[in-house]
Amino acid sequence: MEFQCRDLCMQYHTRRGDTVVLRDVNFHVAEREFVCIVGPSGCGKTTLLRLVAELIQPSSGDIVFSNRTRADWSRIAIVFQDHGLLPWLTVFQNVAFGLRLLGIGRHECQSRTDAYIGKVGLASCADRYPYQLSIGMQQRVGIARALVTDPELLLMDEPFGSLDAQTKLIMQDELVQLLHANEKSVVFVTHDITEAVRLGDRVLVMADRPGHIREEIVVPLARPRASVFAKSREAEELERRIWSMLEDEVRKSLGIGE
Amino acid sequence: MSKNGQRSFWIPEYVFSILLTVAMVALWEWLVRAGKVSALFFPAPSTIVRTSLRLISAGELTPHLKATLYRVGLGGVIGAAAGVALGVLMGWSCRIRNIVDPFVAAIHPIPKIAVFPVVMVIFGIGETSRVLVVAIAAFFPILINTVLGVRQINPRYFEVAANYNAGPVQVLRRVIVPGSLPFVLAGLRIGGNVAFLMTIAVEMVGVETGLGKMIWFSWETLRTENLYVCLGIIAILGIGFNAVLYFLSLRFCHWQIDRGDNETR
Ligand SMILES: Nc1ncnc2c1ncn2[C@@H]1O[C@H](COP(=O)(O)OP(=O)(O)OP(=O)(O)O)[C@@H](O)[C@H]1O
Ligand SMILES: [Mg+2]
Repeated sequence: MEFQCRDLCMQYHTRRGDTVVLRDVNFHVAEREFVCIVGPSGCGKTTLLRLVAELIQPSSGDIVFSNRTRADWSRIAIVFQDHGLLPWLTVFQNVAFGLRLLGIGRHECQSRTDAYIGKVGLASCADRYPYQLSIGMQQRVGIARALVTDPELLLMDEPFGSLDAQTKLIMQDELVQLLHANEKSVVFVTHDITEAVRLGDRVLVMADRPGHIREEIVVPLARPRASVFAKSREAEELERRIWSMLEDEVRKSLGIGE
Repeated sequence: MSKNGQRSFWIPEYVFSILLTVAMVALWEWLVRAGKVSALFFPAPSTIVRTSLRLISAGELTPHLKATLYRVGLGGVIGAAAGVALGVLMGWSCRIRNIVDPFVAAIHPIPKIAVFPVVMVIFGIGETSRVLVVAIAAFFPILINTVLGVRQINPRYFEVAANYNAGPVQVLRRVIVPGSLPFVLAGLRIGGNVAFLMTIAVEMVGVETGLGKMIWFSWETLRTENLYVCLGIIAILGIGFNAVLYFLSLRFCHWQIDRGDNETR
């Protein structure tokens, strides 16, 4: 699903006054493109995803979806940074949540849900409740819930952020495979530069105060890409470039000089 | 519970409750029989049990019990329905809450028994007024708990529903009802007990039947054993009511009760 953000600005109204979180954010995501976003903590990455998902309205600017009416916006699924699992539903019911709301029949719902619970490796936990899961397991349920509806645009907010390093690599592989079979547009927020370079067609580096896109880096490597252990020279070079930019921004954002 | 099964010997808590009850009843019986307390004002437990058996078999108790249950039941249900419905609206919509809140703040602190005469002026000196005042009394704690229950739902859950294009009915059914249920049940528990209290109170004035009437009449005629029978029955009803709510919350709110360390609590 192709879309474009034009001059997106966002301010939150709080009791202490307004804070501008995003200013003049412009970017474009093409059909079947995988765009990663990296940036210092608090620069507005989550806010940006929530804007794209239309969970909140921008203060100014707009998001234009090409050849698509907003009626189709159930084709967008978001993986929340804090998982957002409903605590009163089992793993199965959580994953099936979107399908049920979209009016998918019980039978299809059952088979698709089972399949995706299997894909994230939770087949043995389908009847557990979120409080009975580890944080990493909860995150995988959140991922399955978003994937199971087969969205055209997948918004992922640090989806592998609470996974251990090994599970993370495997989940990356799974995601790559899944997208290979069934192309979607993905906006993927991460704090892991290696992950960004491995998964993304492009990496947007954000800067803080107020949040904006500092640089757009094209990753000219063919997909699917080799695992972290067989990284190409180009990939490493890109990572270094992104890190040097990001280091700057993170230091500025934290107020710690060099 | 025993930690990790380290201690193999374990006495469940209810054993202590039962032992304590038995001890207190025995002490009471002994105090009366030994003449330490007045048998007129504190009839012995055995006397109370005998009296209640007599009252039940003579059919003297049933009409009173029925009348009270009718008032508590109908008043409670009306109050609960209104409280939950308005509470959901107030919890959901900031606008409705801002409009209604001042009225709640003003009316809630008024003792509801004090509005009984006003209600009777409007609705007459009949059953309607009594049921209504019970409903009003039960309404407020249920309303306040429901509003809180809806408001404490993590806003993220609403976003999850919105992400899948949920309409208001689906949000109500899939987020608001389950998410606020623990608080609503707590509200029902308070509201139900308040309804009991109010029923007994209104029955003390100007009714022919009802446990409240029976209590007051027993007191005026110094048939204190009848009075204690009524107190016992109210206590049993209370235990039953609270048990029902307890099991409802076990069944539907275990996700809230169980989370954390469910071994030691
Ligand atoms: N509901 C809100 N009300 C007021 N301010 C908010 C709200 N949500 C976020 N903010 C502010 O907006 C800024 C951006 O928040 P956001 O969650 O988008 O950051 P982020 O880039 O996702 O950070 P992280 O990497 O730590 O998740 C922060 O400074 C935060 O304080
Ligand atoms: Mg974030």
